[in-house]
Amino acid sequence: MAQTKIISKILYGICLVLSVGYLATGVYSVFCLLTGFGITPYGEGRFLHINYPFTGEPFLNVDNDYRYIVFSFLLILVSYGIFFLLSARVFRVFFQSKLFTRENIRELKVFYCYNIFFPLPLAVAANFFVEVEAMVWGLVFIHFMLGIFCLFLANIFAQGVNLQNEQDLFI
Amino acid sequence: MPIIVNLDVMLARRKMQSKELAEKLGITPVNLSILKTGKAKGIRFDTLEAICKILECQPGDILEYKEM
Repeated sequence: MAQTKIISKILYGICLVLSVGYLATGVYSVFCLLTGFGITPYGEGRFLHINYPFTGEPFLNVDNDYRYIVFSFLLILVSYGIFFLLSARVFRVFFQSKLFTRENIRELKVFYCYNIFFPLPLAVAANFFVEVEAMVWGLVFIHFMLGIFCLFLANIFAQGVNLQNEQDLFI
Repeated sequence: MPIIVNLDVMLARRKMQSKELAEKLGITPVNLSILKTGKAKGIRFDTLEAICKILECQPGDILEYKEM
């Protein structure tokens, strides 16, 4: 169990950093795109550089098209930001002193619902506005499978809670 | 359940409080209360042994079978 705790603590930290990175980039990009701050058009205005704050150095390159910006750029940043945040919360479950609790099951439930029910509708919605690469459908499938595994894990945890409650009645 | 826990009776005979017994057993007063009120699903031999030792009694003094 010590090994699990060490690995989960490391992964919790990594996922939290990734989540903050993705979400902060998303917020910064929205701010730049709405205000024009740190934006440099190039390629005859067909593309945009989003620069590092207070520099002229390009940070991100995006198509100058609102459909691309919304569905192929911001949607990815925000949805992966949320994904990594939920992943961090799942990894946090595994280094708690008490593993089988209702709160931990809730964390797993949120994670599997997000992975099962969000990627496909988002990809289908994006498909109406932009060209969705084949790799994205593969990612949708991987997220679905991840959600299913987590669903099974949540069911095992639920069984664990029942067994623990019963065990608590043996004095 | 037809198994009755007569811990209260033994505690009264030994003039000992539940809290004191719980402390000596190393269990919480809540768990001792669960045991006394018959809500427990079972009792471990370790716990029964410790109770018998502290209250200077036999398992039969603590547990009783009554047909319902």
